[in-house]
Amino acid sequence: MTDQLPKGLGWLTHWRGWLTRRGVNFDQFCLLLSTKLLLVTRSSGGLGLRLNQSAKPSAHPLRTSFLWNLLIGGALAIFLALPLPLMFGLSSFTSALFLMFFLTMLTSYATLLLDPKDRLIFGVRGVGDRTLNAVRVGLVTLFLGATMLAQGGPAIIVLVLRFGPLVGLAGLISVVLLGVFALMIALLFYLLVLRFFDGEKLKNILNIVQIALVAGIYLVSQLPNLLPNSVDFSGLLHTGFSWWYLIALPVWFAGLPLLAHGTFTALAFLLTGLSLIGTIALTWAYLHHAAAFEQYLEKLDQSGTTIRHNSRYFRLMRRLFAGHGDEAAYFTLGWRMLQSEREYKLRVYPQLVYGLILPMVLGANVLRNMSFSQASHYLVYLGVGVIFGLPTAIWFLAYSSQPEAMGVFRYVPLAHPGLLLRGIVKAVFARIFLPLLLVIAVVALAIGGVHAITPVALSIALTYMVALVYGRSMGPKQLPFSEEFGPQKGMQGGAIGFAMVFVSMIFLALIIFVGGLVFSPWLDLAAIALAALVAWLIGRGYKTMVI
Amino acid sequence: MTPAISLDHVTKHFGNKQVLQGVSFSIDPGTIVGYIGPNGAGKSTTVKIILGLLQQDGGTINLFGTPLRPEDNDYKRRIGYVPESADVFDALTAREYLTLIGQVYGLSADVAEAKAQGLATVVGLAPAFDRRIAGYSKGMRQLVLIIASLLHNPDLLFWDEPLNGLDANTVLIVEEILQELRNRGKTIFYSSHIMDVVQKLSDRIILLNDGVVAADGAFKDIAGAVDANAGLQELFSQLTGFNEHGQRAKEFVDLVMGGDAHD
Repeated sequence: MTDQLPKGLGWLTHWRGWLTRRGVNFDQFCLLLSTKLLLVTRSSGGLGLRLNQSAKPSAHPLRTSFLWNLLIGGALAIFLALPLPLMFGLSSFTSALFLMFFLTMLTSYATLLLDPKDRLIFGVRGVGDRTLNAVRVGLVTLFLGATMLAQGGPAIIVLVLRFGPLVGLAGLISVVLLGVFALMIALLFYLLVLRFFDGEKLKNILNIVQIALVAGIYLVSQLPNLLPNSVDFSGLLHTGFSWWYLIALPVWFAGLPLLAHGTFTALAFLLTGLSLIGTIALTWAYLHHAAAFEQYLEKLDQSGTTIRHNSRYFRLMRRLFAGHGDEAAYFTLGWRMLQSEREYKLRVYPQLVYGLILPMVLGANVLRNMSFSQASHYLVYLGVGVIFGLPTAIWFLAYSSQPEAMGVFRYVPLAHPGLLLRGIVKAVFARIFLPLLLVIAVVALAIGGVHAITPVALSIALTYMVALVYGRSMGPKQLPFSEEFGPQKGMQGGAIGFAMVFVSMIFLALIIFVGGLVFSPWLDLAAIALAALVAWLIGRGYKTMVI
Repeated sequence: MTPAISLDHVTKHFGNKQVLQGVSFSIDPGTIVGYIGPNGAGKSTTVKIILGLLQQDGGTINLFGTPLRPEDNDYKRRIGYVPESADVFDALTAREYLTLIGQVYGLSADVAEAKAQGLATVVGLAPAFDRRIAGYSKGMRQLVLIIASLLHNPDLLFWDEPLNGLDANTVLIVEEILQELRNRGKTIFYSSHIMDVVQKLSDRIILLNDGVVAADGAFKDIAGAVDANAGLQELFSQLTGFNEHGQRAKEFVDLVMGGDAHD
């Protein structure tokens, strides 16, 4: 059955012995892997309930995603192209690559990593758990390999050109180790959660772990920026040993290229050792429990028995944003879908964390040189950072794990499909963004006192306005929740989320900079009024959307 | 005779709920068993345990005289399974899907494909054989699942609502197929909520209620013990203690007629 493998994957036959010794049926492995690849290339058409006939999906989604990731890789390579000390360039590059790679993995491939259906289809027909897991990890590795090639490739070329082929080779090995390390961390965390939780709690904890993982990786990546003594006056890393190197996981992978460059310091040896031992230990630990992963995944297919009650918050939000008419029903639909669509949460929540942490990281260098009172003028505006999470949150409204359910709108009289979208976009704002903004508001009020009231209100008004603008402009071009999730769509979404970060960043930098600099409640109030007016106008525009 | 399958005091719980409370039965080869019960009675859980998708908490299961162990997989090649939900890969054609499943069961690609095509032709699926399953009707998908369960000539069949979506003529063909398989020594575990068909086809009926075997035997024996004149549908109601059909239906229609959608 090895002849089933696509041409480019013939080299996998060299792994037959190793996989067989690990309990994998190699013939079944090849068969299922090739089938899975075929399935990925055959994108499901969804329901085709288009709102905008002129918007066509990409004909080559995988190629498009690769090019997006290549663009990201080009941006990351700048760290190594600039005339900076190699240690600084490498650690900045590995930190940024780790972040991007981890984010892409969690947002785009969580579907493949946590798909419980394989066991139902193949497990009952004699395919063992180790084989199923090898197929799962193999498939994800192929996609992640392509992602890593695109995101890390340009930097490797820069390393070869600037420092020679040996450093380039060491960089390549480090990038591969980094990818394996990131994948194994994610798999082991999932394994732990699957092992110890059941039912609804399991699904909720999985989302929390996603968020915690992304937040944790962001934080350890940014330790050099956030800690007071890790960066000198010129913004460059200290090259001596500091305790934080032990937990700054991404920086470990700067060690091997440093050694290849001839930097034989204790720090370079330590980092190299940590990267090698860490990756090998995690891989060994995961492989030891690989079969159990498939068994535990079965839990995700068990239906929950939780009875849904309408919370006071939900009822209040529905009344506030959607009144009592048709839109209230659409708001409820959106709210419930957001509550139950695991795939949506897996992709959107990590981006939201990104939005929360990135402004702090970007601002850390500037803010730490200010007095607290000065810095507080800027800090109270950081809530607008949640807007970073909006593009992904709106983009993924197009998808669902059960798109056929939206077929009901084919045979019921739906007078204003735009209202359906608006109700759902409002639910996104009220369910995902507003609670977060309220938590940030509490923190901002603690920092800035009464002076934080108008900046907080401005953050809320702007986020609502941008949600409606994104919903109208880049929201689903067909009925929401009517296309099936697929990895290639995830890749597009991840890349688009990243691209929109740059667009959003300019907007947010402007708000935070101008707001913090002027720090006038009157300016805030004027901006709130403007945002409310734009939101009202855009909101009205939804009514005219037609199928 | 060695039983095709035997369960001895099998138990299973999910959270606080005891789904199977000591299920025991033994089935000889060449038997059609109607495995019935209300929703949530534990039927699917039993089948999932036998298929290795779940692990029982207690009790033992033997297949053709050999105890089931969680790490075993080869025994599954003697089983054919039609799941209640149509879990197939929509993006594949029937030819691709059935060849894949045949290969998973250990057939060569050529043999699997030829056999699948032959079976598809007999049941009238040939014209759609090279179309993606995504465009299939419910009945056509069901035929794909039925063929997938038989490609490897299994000894034991688990069919869960196999007649879902099939047209009347195809139902007759499938019923005949089941009886022919039984006559040739296959053991068939047939689960359905359509009591007329279960009554007509089954040599033996096992009724599960709240995780315990509430009745087990030939239809005439069960009827003799409960109500000799009743059909399986009535017996089912009596054995599961439900007799509010008329009242529930009236309430339902009252609510339907009380709406104001036309106003």
